[in-house]
Amino acid sequence: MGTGHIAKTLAALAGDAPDDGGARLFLRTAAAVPSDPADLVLMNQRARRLWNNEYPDLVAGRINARPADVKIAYWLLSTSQQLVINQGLEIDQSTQWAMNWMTNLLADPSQRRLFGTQTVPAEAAEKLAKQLQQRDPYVYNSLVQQMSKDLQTSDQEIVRDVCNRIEALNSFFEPLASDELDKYNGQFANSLTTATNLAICKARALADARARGITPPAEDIQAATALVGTIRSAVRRRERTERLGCDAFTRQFACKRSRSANERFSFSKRLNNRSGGPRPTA
Amino acid sequence: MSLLTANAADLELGNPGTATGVGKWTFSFKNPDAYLAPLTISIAQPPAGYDPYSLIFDIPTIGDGTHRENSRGTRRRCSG
Repeated sequence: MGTGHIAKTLAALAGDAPDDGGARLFLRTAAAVPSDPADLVLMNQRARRLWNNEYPDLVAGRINARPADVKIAYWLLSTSQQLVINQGLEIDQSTQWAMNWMTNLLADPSQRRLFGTQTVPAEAAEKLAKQLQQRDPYVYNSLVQQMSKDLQTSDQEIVRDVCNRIEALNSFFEPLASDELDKYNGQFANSLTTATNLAICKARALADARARGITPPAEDIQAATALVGTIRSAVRRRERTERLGCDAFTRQFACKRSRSANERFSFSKRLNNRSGGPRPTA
Repeated sequence: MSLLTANAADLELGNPGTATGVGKWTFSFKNPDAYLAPLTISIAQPPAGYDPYSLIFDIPTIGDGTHRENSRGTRRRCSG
Protein backbone atom coordinates (compact mmCIF):
# COMPACT_ATOMS: atom_id res chain seq x y z
CA MET A 1 0.00 0.00 0.00
CA GLY A 2 1.22 3.46 -0.85
CA THR A 3 2.75 4.95 2.28
CA GLY A 4 1.69 2.48 4.88
CA HIS A 5 -1.14 2.23 7.37
CA ILE A 6 -1.42 -1.52 6.90
CA ALA A 7 -1.72 -2.16 10.62
CA LYS A 8 -4.49 0.46 10.90
CA THR A 9 -6.12 -0.97 7.82
CA LEU A 10 -6.04 -4.43 9.37
CA ALA A 11 -7.96 -3.04 12.31
CA ALA A 12 -10.65 -1.39 10.16
CA LEU A 13 -13.78 -3.38 10.88
CA ALA A 14 -17.38 -2.89 9.93
CA GLY A 15 -19.67 -3.39 12.89
CA ASP A 16 -22.92 -1.69 11.83
CA ALA A 17 -26.06 -3.73 12.37
CA PRO A 18 -26.96 -5.15 8.94
CA ASP A 19 -30.50 -3.75 8.97
CA ASP A 20 -32.32 -0.47 8.29
CA GLY A 21 -31.12 0.98 11.59
CA GLY A 22 -27.51 0.22 10.71
CA ALA A 23 -28.00 1.65 7.22
CA ARG A 24 -29.50 4.86 8.66
CA LEU A 25 -26.60 5.23 11.08
CA PHE A 26 -24.08 4.67 8.29
CA LEU A 27 -25.74 7.07 5.86
CA ARG A 28 -26.01 9.76 8.55
CA THR A 29 -22.26 9.67 9.13
CA ALA A 30 -21.13 9.15 5.51
CA ALA A 31 -20.40 12.61 4.16
CA ALA A 32 -17.28 12.36 2.01
CA VAL A 33 -14.79 9.75 0.83
CA PRO A 34 -11.94 9.80 3.40
CA SER A 35 -8.37 10.30 2.25
CA ASP A 36 -6.72 8.21 4.98
CA PRO A 37 -6.40 4.59 3.71
CA ALA A 38 -7.53 3.06 7.02
CA ASP A 39 -10.63 5.30 7.17
CA LEU A 40 -11.25 4.51 3.52
CA VAL A 41 -11.11 0.75 4.17
CA LEU A 42 -13.37 1.17 7.19
CA MET A 43 -16.00 3.05 5.19
CA ASN A 44 -15.64 0.52 2.37
CA GLN A 45 -16.22 -2.34 4.80
CA ARG A 46 -19.21 -0.66 6.44
CA ALA A 47 -20.84 -0.06 3.05
CA ARG A 48 -19.95 -3.63 1.96
CA ARG A 49 -21.55 -5.19 5.05
CA LEU A 50 -24.82 -3.30 4.51
CA TRP A 51 -24.74 -3.93 0.76
CA ASN A 52 -24.14 -7.68 1.19
CA ASN A 53 -27.19 -7.78 3.41
CA GLU A 54 -29.46 -6.02 0.89
CA TYR A 55 -28.20 -7.39 -2.41
CA PRO A 56 -29.67 -10.95 -2.33
CA ASP A 57 -33.18 -9.52 -1.76
CA LEU A 58 -32.71 -6.79 -4.37
CA VAL A 59 -31.46 -9.10 -7.09
CA ALA A 60 -34.14 -11.71 -6.35
CA GLY A 61 -36.83 -9.01 -6.61
CA ARG A 62 -38.05 -9.64 -3.06
CA ILE A 63 -37.67 -5.93 -2.32
CA ASN A 64 -37.78 -2.87 -4.54
CA ALA A 65 -34.76 -0.63 -4.86
CA ARG A 66 -34.89 2.27 -2.39
CA PRO A 67 -32.90 5.52 -2.29
CA ALA A 68 -30.94 4.15 0.71
CA ASP A 69 -29.81 1.16 -1.42
CA VAL A 70 -28.56 3.51 -4.13
CA LYS A 71 -26.62 5.51 -1.54
CA ILE A 72 -25.06 2.42 0.07
CA ALA A 73 -24.04 1.04 -3.35
CA TYR A 74 -22.61 4.46 -4.20
CA TRP A 75 -20.45 4.59 -1.04
CA LEU A 76 -19.22 1.05 -1.67
CA LEU A 77 -18.31 1.92 -5.26
CA SER A 78 -16.74 5.31 -4.57
CA THR A 79 -14.55 4.01 -1.71
CA SER A 80 -13.58 0.99 -3.85
CA GLN A 81 -12.67 3.35 -6.67
CA GLN A 82 -10.31 5.34 -4.41
CA LEU A 83 -8.75 2.11 -3.13
CA VAL A 84 -8.28 0.96 -6.72
CA ILE A 85 -6.55 4.17 -7.80
CA ASN A 86 -4.36 4.70 -4.73
CA GLN A 87 -3.82 1.21 -3.35
CA GLY A 88 -4.35 -1.16 -6.30
CA LEU A 89 -7.39 -2.88 -4.79
CA GLU A 90 -8.64 -5.87 -6.75
CA ILE A 91 -12.36 -5.61 -7.40
CA ASP A 92 -14.16 -8.15 -5.26
CA GLN A 93 -17.50 -9.87 -5.80
CA SER A 94 -19.56 -7.38 -3.70
CA THR A 95 -18.18 -4.39 -5.61
CA GLN A 96 -18.82 -6.18 -8.90
CA TRP A 97 -22.43 -6.88 -7.87
CA ALA A 98 -22.92 -3.24 -6.87
CA MET A 99 -21.49 -2.08 -10.21
CA ASN A 100 -23.79 -4.37 -12.20
CA TRP A 101 -26.83 -3.47 -10.12
CA MET A 102 -26.24 0.27 -10.42
CA THR A 103 -25.53 0.04 -14.16
CA ASN A 104 -28.80 -1.86 -14.71
CA LEU A 105 -30.70 0.67 -12.62
CA LEU A 106 -29.24 3.57 -14.62
CA ALA A 107 -30.26 1.88 -17.87
CA ASP A 108 -33.87 1.42 -16.71
CA PRO A 109 -35.93 4.60 -17.33
CA SER A 110 -38.44 3.65 -14.62
CA GLN A 111 -35.67 3.26 -12.02
CA ARG A 112 -33.57 6.24 -13.04
CA ARG A 113 -35.75 8.47 -10.84
CA LEU A 114 -33.89 6.96 -7.87
CA PHE A 115 -30.88 9.03 -8.87
CA GLY A 116 -30.76 12.73 -8.10
CA THR A 117 -29.64 15.29 -5.55
CA GLN A 118 -31.26 13.34 -2.69
CA THR A 119 -29.22 10.23 -3.49
CA VAL A 120 -26.55 10.40 -6.21
CA PRO A 121 -26.80 12.30 -9.50
CA ALA A 122 -27.09 9.83 -12.39
CA GLU A 123 -24.10 11.39 -14.17
CA ALA A 124 -21.88 10.90 -11.10
CA ALA A 125 -22.98 7.26 -10.81
CA GLU A 126 -22.32 6.64 -14.51
CA LYS A 127 -18.87 8.22 -14.27
CA LEU A 128 -18.05 6.11 -11.23
CA ALA A 129 -19.06 2.84 -12.92
CA LYS A 130 -16.98 3.77 -15.95
CA GLN A 131 -13.92 4.58 -13.83
CA LEU A 132 -14.20 1.28 -11.95
CA GLN A 133 -14.24 -0.60 -15.24
CA GLN A 134 -10.86 1.08 -15.90
CA ARG A 135 -9.26 -0.62 -12.91
CA ASP A 136 -6.37 -2.29 -14.74
CA PRO A 137 -5.24 0.79 -16.71
CA TYR A 138 -5.02 2.78 -13.45
CA VAL A 139 -3.08 0.06 -11.60
CA TYR A 140 -0.68 -0.50 -14.50
CA ASN A 141 -0.24 3.24 -15.02
CA SER A 142 0.85 3.71 -11.43
CA LEU A 143 3.36 0.87 -11.90
CA VAL A 144 4.66 2.22 -15.22
CA GLN A 145 5.04 5.74 -13.79
CA GLN A 146 7.05 4.38 -10.88
CA MET A 147 9.26 2.37 -13.24
CA SER A 148 9.90 5.49 -15.36
CA LYS A 149 10.90 7.36 -12.21
CA ASP A 150 13.21 4.57 -11.03
CA LEU A 151 14.88 4.53 -14.43
CA GLN A 152 16.02 8.12 -13.88
CA THR A 153 17.97 7.44 -10.68
CA SER A 154 21.77 7.45 -10.68
CA ASP A 155 21.93 4.23 -8.63
CA GLN A 156 23.03 1.59 -11.16
CA GLU A 157 21.75 -1.23 -8.99
CA ILE A 158 18.23 0.23 -8.97
CA VAL A 159 18.41 0.80 -12.72
CA ARG A 160 19.48 -2.82 -13.29
CA ASP A 161 16.62 -4.09 -11.10
CA VAL A 162 14.01 -1.92 -12.76
CA CYS A 163 15.27 -2.83 -16.24
CA ASN A 164 14.72 -6.51 -15.37
CA ARG A 165 11.17 -5.77 -14.35
CA ILE A 166 10.53 -3.52 -17.35
CA GLU A 167 11.67 -6.39 -19.59
CA ALA A 168 9.27 -8.77 -17.78
CA LEU A 169 6.38 -6.31 -18.13
CA ASN A 170 7.18 -5.73 -21.80
CA SER A 171 7.18 -9.50 -22.36
CA PHE A 172 3.71 -9.58 -20.83
CA PHE A 173 2.40 -6.79 -23.09
CA GLU A 174 4.14 -7.81 -26.30
CA PRO A 175 2.09 -10.88 -27.32
CA LEU A 176 -1.26 -9.21 -26.55
CA ALA A 177 -3.57 -8.31 -29.41
CA SER A 178 -4.67 -4.70 -29.80
CA ASP A 179 -8.02 -5.22 -28.06
CA GLU A 180 -6.37 -7.02 -25.16
CA LEU A 181 -3.81 -4.23 -24.83
CA ASP A 182 -6.65 -1.72 -24.58
CA LYS A 183 -7.71 -3.40 -21.36
CA TYR A 184 -4.37 -2.46 -19.80
CA ASN A 185 -3.88 0.87 -21.55
CA GLY A 186 -7.30 2.49 -21.33
CA GLN A 187 -6.71 6.23 -21.44
CA PHE A 188 -2.98 5.74 -20.70
CA ALA A 189 -0.05 4.66 -22.88
CA ASN A 190 1.15 1.93 -20.51
CA SER A 191 2.44 -0.57 -23.09
CA LEU A 192 4.07 2.13 -25.21
CA THR A 193 5.82 3.72 -22.21
CA THR A 194 7.04 0.27 -21.15
CA ALA A 195 8.49 -0.45 -24.61
CA THR A 196 10.13 3.00 -24.62
CA ASN A 197 11.59 2.41 -21.15
CA LEU A 198 12.94 -0.94 -22.30
CA ALA A 199 14.57 0.77 -25.29
CA ILE A 200 16.28 3.16 -22.83
CA CYS A 201 17.51 0.14 -20.84
CA LYS A 202 18.86 -1.55 -24.00
CA ALA A 203 20.51 1.64 -25.26
CA ARG A 204 22.21 2.11 -21.90
CA ALA A 205 23.44 -1.49 -21.88
CA LEU A 206 24.85 -1.12 -25.43
CA ALA A 207 26.52 2.21 -24.58
CA ASP A 208 27.94 0.68 -21.42
CA ALA A 209 29.35 -2.28 -23.36
CA ARG A 210 30.91 0.04 -25.92
CA ALA A 211 32.45 2.21 -23.19
CA ARG A 212 34.10 -0.91 -21.79
CA GLY A 213 35.40 -1.87 -25.23
CA ILE A 214 33.07 -4.88 -25.48
CA THR A 215 31.38 -5.67 -28.79
CA PRO A 216 27.72 -6.32 -27.94
CA PRO A 217 26.42 -9.72 -29.05
CA ALA A 218 24.57 -9.65 -32.38
CA GLU A 219 21.35 -10.89 -30.73
CA ASP A 220 21.36 -7.87 -28.36
CA ILE A 221 21.53 -5.52 -31.32
CA GLN A 222 18.77 -7.49 -33.10
CA ALA A 223 16.61 -7.35 -29.98
CA ALA A 224 17.11 -3.58 -29.72
CA THR A 225 16.23 -3.14 -33.40
CA ALA A 226 13.11 -5.30 -33.00
CA LEU A 227 12.11 -3.19 -30.02
CA VAL A 228 12.32 -0.01 -32.08
CA GLY A 229 9.91 -1.68 -34.55
CA THR A 230 7.53 -2.51 -31.69
CA ILE A 231 7.63 1.10 -30.46
CA ARG A 232 7.03 2.47 -33.95
CA SER A 233 3.93 0.32 -34.43
CA ALA A 234 2.70 1.17 -30.92
CA VAL A 235 3.14 4.90 -31.65
CA ARG A 236 1.28 4.52 -34.95
CA ARG A 237 -1.55 2.62 -33.21
CA ARG A 238 -1.72 5.28 -30.49
CA GLU A 239 -1.76 8.10 -33.04
CA ARG A 240 -4.49 6.38 -35.01
CA THR A 241 -6.53 5.89 -31.84
CA GLU A 242 -6.07 9.51 -30.80
CA ARG A 243 -6.93 10.74 -34.29
CA LEU A 244 -10.17 8.81 -34.14
CA GLY A 245 -10.82 10.05 -30.61
CA CYS A 246 -11.07 6.54 -29.20
CA ASP A 247 -10.01 4.98 -25.98
CA ALA A 248 -10.69 1.51 -24.64
CA PHE A 249 -14.21 2.52 -23.63
CA THR A 250 -15.36 4.59 -26.50
CA ARG A 251 -13.73 2.30 -29.06
CA GLN A 252 -16.82 0.18 -29.36
CA PHE A 253 -19.17 3.08 -30.04
CA ALA A 254 -17.61 6.47 -30.76
CA CYS A 255 -14.63 4.94 -32.51
CA LYS A 256 -16.84 2.99 -34.87
CA ARG A 257 -18.78 6.16 -35.58
CA SER A 258 -15.56 8.04 -36.27
CA ARG A 259 -14.31 5.25 -38.48
CA SER A 260 -17.43 5.25 -40.54
CA ALA A 261 -17.25 9.05 -40.74
CA ASN A 262 -13.65 8.70 -41.96
CA GLU A 263 -14.68 6.04 -44.42
CA ARG A 264 -17.42 8.32 -45.74
CA PHE A 265 -14.84 11.11 -46.01
CA SER A 266 -12.34 8.98 -47.97
CA PHE A 267 -15.15 7.64 -50.17
CA SER A 268 -16.21 11.18 -51.06
CA LYS A 269 -12.54 12.04 -51.63
CA ARG A 270 -12.22 9.10 -54.02
CA LEU A 271 -15.35 10.25 -55.80
CA ASN A 272 -13.95 13.77 -56.08
CA ASN A 273 -10.67 12.43 -57.40
CA ARG A 274 -12.48 10.33 -59.98
CA SER A 275 -14.44 13.33 -61.16
CA GLY A 276 -11.36 15.50 -61.33
CA GLY A 277 -11.32 16.63 -57.69
CA PRO A 278 -13.35 19.25 -55.93
CA ARG A 279 -14.21 22.33 -57.92
CA PRO A 280 -11.97 25.29 -57.19
CA THR A 281 -13.73 28.05 -55.32
CA ALA A 282 -13.79 31.49 -56.77
CA MET B 1 -6.78 -12.42 14.28
CA SER B 2 -5.44 -10.34 11.46
CA LEU B 3 -3.32 -11.64 8.66
CA LEU B 4 -1.17 -10.32 5.90
CA THR B 5 -0.46 -12.90 3.22
CA ALA B 6 1.30 -12.71 -0.10
CA ASN B 7 2.40 -14.82 -3.02
CA ALA B 8 5.53 -16.32 -1.47
CA ALA B 9 7.28 -16.57 -4.81
CA ASP B 10 7.09 -12.79 -5.35
CA LEU B 11 6.92 -11.12 -1.96
CA GLU B 12 8.74 -11.72 1.26
CA LEU B 13 6.88 -10.49 4.31
CA GLY B 14 8.55 -9.16 7.40
CA ASN B 15 7.15 -9.43 10.91
CA PRO B 16 5.32 -6.50 12.47
CA GLY B 17 7.36 -7.17 15.59
CA THR B 18 4.49 -6.80 18.06
CA ALA B 19 1.97 -9.25 19.43
CA THR B 20 -0.95 -7.04 18.42
CA GLY B 21 0.22 -6.68 14.85
CA VAL B 22 0.22 -2.91 15.23
CA GLY B 23 3.68 -1.83 14.24
CA LYS B 24 5.80 -1.74 11.17
CA TRP B 25 5.11 -4.30 8.49
CA THR B 26 7.81 -4.77 5.91
CA PHE B 27 7.75 -6.62 2.65
CA SER B 28 10.16 -6.96 -0.22
CA PHE B 29 10.02 -8.16 -3.78
CA LYS B 30 12.18 -11.23 -3.88
CA ASN B 31 11.41 -12.29 -7.44
CA PRO B 32 13.50 -10.00 -9.70
CA ASP B 33 10.91 -10.38 -12.50
CA ALA B 34 7.84 -9.54 -10.39
CA TYR B 35 6.38 -6.09 -10.97
CA LEU B 36 2.94 -6.40 -9.34
CA ALA B 37 2.39 -8.72 -6.42
CA PRO B 38 -0.94 -9.44 -4.76
CA LEU B 39 -1.06 -8.83 -1.02
CA THR B 40 -4.06 -10.06 0.95
CA ILE B 41 -5.19 -8.30 4.08
CA SER B 42 -7.70 -10.31 6.02
CA ILE B 43 -9.36 -10.49 9.37
CA ALA B 44 -10.70 -14.01 9.75
CA GLN B 45 -11.85 -13.85 13.38
CA PRO B 46 -13.06 -10.37 14.20
CA PRO B 47 -14.59 -9.36 17.54
CA ALA B 48 -18.26 -10.30 18.13
CA GLY B 49 -20.66 -8.19 16.10
CA TYR B 50 -18.16 -7.53 13.33
CA ASP B 51 -17.75 -9.19 9.94
CA PRO B 52 -14.61 -10.98 8.79
CA TYR B 53 -13.11 -9.39 5.73
CA SER B 54 -10.47 -9.91 3.14
CA LEU B 55 -9.17 -7.46 0.57
CA ILE B 56 -6.56 -8.06 -2.11
CA PHE B 57 -4.24 -5.27 -3.23
CA ASP B 58 -1.81 -5.37 -6.15
CA ILE B 59 1.45 -3.93 -4.84
CA PRO B 60 3.70 -2.32 -7.47
CA THR B 61 7.46 -2.61 -7.24
CA ILE B 62 9.23 0.54 -6.10
CA GLY B 63 12.98 0.93 -6.35
CA ASP B 64 13.42 4.51 -5.21
CA GLY B 65 16.47 3.63 -3.15
CA THR B 66 15.06 4.80 0.17
CA HIS B 67 14.03 1.41 1.54
CA ARG B 68 16.36 -1.04 -0.11
CA GLU B 69 16.97 -4.40 1.42
CA ASN B 70 19.30 -6.21 -0.95
CA SER B 71 20.31 -6.37 -4.56
CA ARG B 72 17.51 -8.77 -5.44
CA GLY B 73 14.54 -6.72 -4.52
CA THR B 74 13.12 -3.64 -2.96
CA ARG B 75 11.83 -3.12 0.50
CA ARG B 76 8.98 -0.95 1.62
CA ARG B 77 7.85 -0.09 5.07
CA CYS B 78 4.33 0.26 6.25
CA SER B 79 3.65 1.74 9.62
CA GLY B 80 0.51 1.53 11.64
